[in-house]
Parts: sequence; structure tokens; C-alpha cells
Amino acid sequence: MTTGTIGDAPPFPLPLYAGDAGEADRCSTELRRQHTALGAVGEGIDSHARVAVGNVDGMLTAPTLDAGRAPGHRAVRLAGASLLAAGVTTAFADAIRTYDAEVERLNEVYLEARARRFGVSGLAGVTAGEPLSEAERADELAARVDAADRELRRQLGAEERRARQLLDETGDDLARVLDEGPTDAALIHLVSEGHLPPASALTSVMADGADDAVQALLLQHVADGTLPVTALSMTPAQLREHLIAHPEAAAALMANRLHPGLPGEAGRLASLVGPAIVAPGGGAAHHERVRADVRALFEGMSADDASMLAMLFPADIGNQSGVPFANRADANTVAVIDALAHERENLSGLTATGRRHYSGFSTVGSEDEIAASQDRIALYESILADDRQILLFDASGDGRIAELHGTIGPGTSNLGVHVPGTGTDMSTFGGTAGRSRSFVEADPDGELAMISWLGGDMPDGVARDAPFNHYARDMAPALADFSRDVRQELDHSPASGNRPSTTYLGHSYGGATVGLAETHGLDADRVLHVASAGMGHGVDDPSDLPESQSGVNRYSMTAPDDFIGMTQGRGWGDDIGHGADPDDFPGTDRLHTGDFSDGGRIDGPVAAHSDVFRRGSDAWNNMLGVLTGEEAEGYRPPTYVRDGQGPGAPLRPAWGEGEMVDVP
Amino acid sequence: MTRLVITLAALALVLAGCGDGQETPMTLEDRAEQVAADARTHMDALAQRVGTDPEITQDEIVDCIPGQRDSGLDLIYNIAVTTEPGAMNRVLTDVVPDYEADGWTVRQRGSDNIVFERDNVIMEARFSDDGTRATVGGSGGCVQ
Repeated sequence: MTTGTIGDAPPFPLPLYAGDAGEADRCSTELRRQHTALGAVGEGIDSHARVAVGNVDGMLTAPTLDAGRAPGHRAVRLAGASLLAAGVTTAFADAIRTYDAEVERLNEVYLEARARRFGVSGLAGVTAGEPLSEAERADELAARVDAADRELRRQLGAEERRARQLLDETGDDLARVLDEGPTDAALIHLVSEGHLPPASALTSVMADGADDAVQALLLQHVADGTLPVTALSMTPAQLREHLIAHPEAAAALMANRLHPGLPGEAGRLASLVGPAIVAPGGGAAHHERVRADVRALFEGMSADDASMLAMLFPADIGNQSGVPFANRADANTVAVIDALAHERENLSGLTATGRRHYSGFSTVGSEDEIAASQDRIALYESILADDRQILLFDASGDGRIAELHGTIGPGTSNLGVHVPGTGTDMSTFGGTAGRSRSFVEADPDGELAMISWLGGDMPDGVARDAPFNHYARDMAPALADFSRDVRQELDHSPASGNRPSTTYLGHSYGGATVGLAETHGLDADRVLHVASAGMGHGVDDPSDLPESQSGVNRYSMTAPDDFIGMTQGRGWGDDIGHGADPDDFPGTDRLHTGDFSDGGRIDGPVAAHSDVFRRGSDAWNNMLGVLTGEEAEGYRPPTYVRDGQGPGAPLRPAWGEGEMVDVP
Repeated sequence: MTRLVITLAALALVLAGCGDGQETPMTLEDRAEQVAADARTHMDALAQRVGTDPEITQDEIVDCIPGQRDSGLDLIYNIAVTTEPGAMNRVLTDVVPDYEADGWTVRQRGSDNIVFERDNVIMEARFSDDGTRATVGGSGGCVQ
């Protein structure tokens, strides 16, 4: 038989907690009222001081402001203390309610068991022998009921002690919080636990300069309803998932802009990137200083805070020079979530329009638009599903985007930037990204990372738009600036010890863009022109490039008969043409474009322009050789040889001699 | 009335028959996928002979000319495998002859790369400097 001591088996029903949760709630409400009143006092003192300042001059201005500062500050601290006490009291009231609910449950269990005589129903199991008298049977039964009663009370008593211990510990924790005073962390924790309304905590947190800016900013979004209270305890990954599931919250964050009045790093960042007055000619130096200062600001934060800050101000941080690439990607995730929601709406509208067209005259234009919209949606969905690293994003117009493929890690020794050509926009970016990825994935040593860069508006049509150089003129400064972001990222990355080399690969119109970016000081170790439109408008010989480009190693490849050959080195006036032919540019190593699999050359007007990118082709292999700084096959002039004797023998395409080119 | 019903039923059968007889033309995407499927089969087989633990790291069908939607479609396929040091020599000695006998044109390209070409398929095996990893990848050709 199980027995227990009296202490182990307390009498039932158990009493509720001596304190009254309702009274604690009333106390908390009163404390919050005090908080509001004290906050108003602080604001009043501050506004009176400002009025007073308006009535004094010169040396009296500062002392007048200071006179109000101390009492105002005190009022704010008192308001914060009141709010903390209110939150702590509510928290304790909630703990009492939890304890009382547990006690009520235990009492219910006990009373139900007692009504069933604790499950004792007879004398089965009594040792066989002399039959028991009626009185003996009654005594035995009572003893068994009593024992079961004690056992149940012992078990339920143990549960009650655990609940009380929890209540005591909560009380101790809350007492410690009260002792420490109204810190931002304590107030925000009370909000996250549901013990304080977000808006009232926000006034206290913001009134005195936030200790933890990111938490304060999150609290702001909780208070305005953009984010749920649970956001206060989310990791960056959890916030990302929340935003994917709630695109309306991402849209609200996209409208969130930096300004110097924000707490902590957010306010400092706003000051850094905001308008500045600089000396004539000092713009570039100021820009470089901003890039360095922004980097330092982010590196001074914890990784989680930096990610959170980026996601809270995606429109300002996603494309900002100096922001670490990982944090640009954090911010641009939010921008992509927002763009995806807009694009889905757009597709829905286009589909409806398409149906109207179908019943009318034409579906052609709309079908193209629908296909482009579907491609954009597929891109955005893939970015979110695969957590792709987007370093630049702007969905407006034809779109701007840059993506990092692979990782910049301790083993990275080369980084390539692929600038695509005519026709590339947000809807066709997937192909460019795929080509860039093919280089990263093919490198068994894992030493290569790539970036696909579409940082501006590319011409839409080959014949209609591509001859004009204004697209390249618009993009070139941005690409040169981005190259300095790339260099900064490499210098601050785990790969910095390898001193990674950078290669800028420009295909077709992208080649002219890369070439022109050199005139803006593109920070490159190598430049690779692939079926390039030219060295860039105005670049006719090496003397047209600035001194900064003297150390750049240049390579070029154009397959025989590629239609781009008709434009290389040709120009008319200021607007048409893209400078010198890269294949002939002094100091440039021209590379071989190689064969088709059937032994024929990669040639012909259109096929030559596309097949150079075929995964595994000789041209592609030579691109990889340049990107990884190994070796590439030098140019081999096309020739024809006769298979057989006599003039009627068929001609077979072949190549002249070439040499291997070491790529430093 | 019965004649009308029989006539309509016969007409319906004829129309249904006409429908069944029409072949839906293959879309560009379908044709590209067909070519890609064939190329993938070749590369999967090569990867098995080059190393172990194959992992497909890229399998995409993209525009032949990056950015140009009407330039056709092309597979990019890549498999990473684990190898033993000396794998490239083993492939050259043991594997390449089988492929050559099967009609493939095979050549060594540079110090770390073997290219296999047949019909419109190009595939290559590329070996790491330390010989412990390789990638097998390629394309089935641009489908227009």
C-alpha cells in the first residue's frame, strides 16, 4: 500500500492564491495612467523650454534649454518606471491566474475522484481464508478508500507545488526586472509577452533614445500594426519567413524610409547616406567615405541586428553602396516579396485584358506581356524559395537586378561579374543567371564566385536599339561604382587573404558597357569581351582609358561570322557605335571560340552569337579559363581544307594554329 | 426522329475521330526538354564512370543567347562527383576508349579537362587540382 506524509498529501480542495489577480490588473491600469500623465509632464517641460528659448538670445539659449532638460528627463524616467511597474504587475497578475487555473483543475480532479470513491469498488484480492464479518469488510473498504485518497492528494499536491514554484520564480524574475529599472529590453520583453501594449512601451523606449535601436524599430512596427508582437522575438530567418507569408507587411516595410531622427544605427545610417554639402570636385571622395563609413556601421552591429535593420528599411539599404552583400540580400528579399505581390496582380490584370483582346482583334502584344510577367513571377518565386542572394533590385521599368552565385568564402580566389547584352531585362534575367551559375558549378575546386549584373536598361532590340550607345553611357558609371562595392566586399570577406582577382565579362552589348565602365575607373583585374559590341563609346585606343586601367588584363572572343562583327569598330556620330573592335584592341588577347560537336566551327551570324555560351564548348571553356585565372586557348584563324584531291573535293572547316594563353 | 438521332451520333463519332487524328505540334519547350532528357542521360552515365556520390548541382533550360527570349532553348547540366587522386588518368585510360568505340569524339583539353562530343551533345569532365573532386557537365545544343 502506498502511503504518504501529511505534508505530501495536503487537504483538498486547495486554496487559490492569496493575492487577487483582478486587483493587480486594476493596479496596472492605474500605473499606466500615471505613465501617460508623467509622459505628458515631460513633453510639457520640453515644449515650455522651447518656447522659453524663443524669448531669449545668444548665450542664454543653451542654459534655458538645459534648465528644462533635467526635470523633463526625470519625468520621462518616472513615466518609464511607472510603465515598467504596470507591465510587471500585469505579468504577475497573469502568473496568479495561471496558478489559480491550475489549482482549480487539481481540485476538480480530486472532487471527481472522490465522487467515485477514488476507484475503490470492492474487496477483490483479499487473502483467502476465514470469511470477513460485515464490520471487518467495512473497515477494510474504508482503509482502502483512505489510502487511495491519500495517494491522489499526494500526487496532486506535488503538481500544486510545481505550479507554486513556477509562480514564485516568476515573482522573483519580475522583482529583478523592477530592480533594474525601465530598460528598453525589459519594456520590449513585457510587450512581447503581451503584458504591455506596444504603443505605450514605444513612447518610453523612443523618448529617451533607444538602447537597442533594432528592437525599438521592431516595436515601432508592432505598435503600428505592420508586424505581430511575436516579431520582437523573431530571428532574421523567422522574420523573412513571416514576410513571405505576409506580403502586405513587406509592402509596408518598403515604404519605411531612413531619416536622421531614427534611433541608433538607423538614424546614423540616414545621416551618412543623406544629402551632404561637399566642396566642388569632392563628390567622389565623399562617396568613397560614405561607402567606408556605411560598411563600418554595419560591421559594428551583431549579424542579427544588421540583418534586421536591412529588412526594416529595404528600399534604402538593398542597393546602398557600403552595405555588406549579405545585408543587401536581406533587404532585397523584402523588395522581391513586394514585387512578387505586385507582379501577380499585374498578371491577373493582363490575363483579363488578354481575354478581352481575344474576343476582339488581337492577342499578340498581350501574350508577350503575359509571358514576360510569368517569367518575372517565376524568377521572384525562385529567388524566395532558394534564398538567392540579390545584391541589387528594382522592379520598376525593365528592372535592375544583380545576383551573387556561389559564396565568397575562405577558398574564393576569383570573382567574375557577368554583364549581359541586348534584350536582357527582369523577365529574361534567368538565362543570364543560369549562364553565370554554370561557371561556378563547373569549377571543381570551388574557388570561383560569380555575379550577374543588370544594373540598368539594356536595349530591347538588336537592330532597333543596340547600335545606340546611350544605354551603355547610362549604365557604365553604375557598373564602375558597383565594381568598388565588389572590391570592398572581397577585402572584408573571408577570402581577403587570397587577394581574389576580379573579371568583368561583357557579352554583346554588355561588352560595350564593361568597356565604357573602364573609362569610369572600373575596378577590375581582367576584362573579358565576349561577342562584344565594342570597347565602349569613345574608346578607340588605349590612350582613351584612364591611368587606373593600366593594370587590367583584357581578353576578347568573337566567333567567325557572328553578326556582332558588323558593328565592332564602327560608329556614326556621337550616338551610334561602341568604340574600337575588342578583338583588335592593342594589348588584348584574342581567344579561340572553337568547334561544334560535329567538328564544324561555331560560326554563322546568329548561332555564333549564342553557341559561345554553350556549357562545355571551347568558347565557354576559354571563358572559364579567364574567370578562374588559369589558361585559355589563343585565337586560331578559321581556314578550310580540302578533303581529297582536285577542285571538286569538299571543303572542310578547320582552324589555323593557336597558342595557349596564361591568364594572370 | 430515330434517323436524326443516328445521324447526329454518327456525326459526333466522325468529329471525335477527326479530333483524335490531329497531332498537337510539339512546343519549343517540349522539344528542348526532349533534347535535354537525352543529354542528361549521357551525362549521368559519364558521371557514374568518373566518380562516386553524384550530385546534380545545376539543371536548367535557358535562352541560348542570354537575355534573348527568341534565341532558342539550351540545357545547362552539371553533376559534382567525388574522385580518387589520379582519376583523370584513369578516365583517359579506362573510360575514353569505350566512348570512342561508341562514336564519341573525345579530346583532352588543357590539364584538367576531357571533352566528349557526339551529334549535338557536348559534355566534359573537369578534375580538381587535388584530384578528389570532379564535375561532369554540358549541353544538348540550342533548340530553336
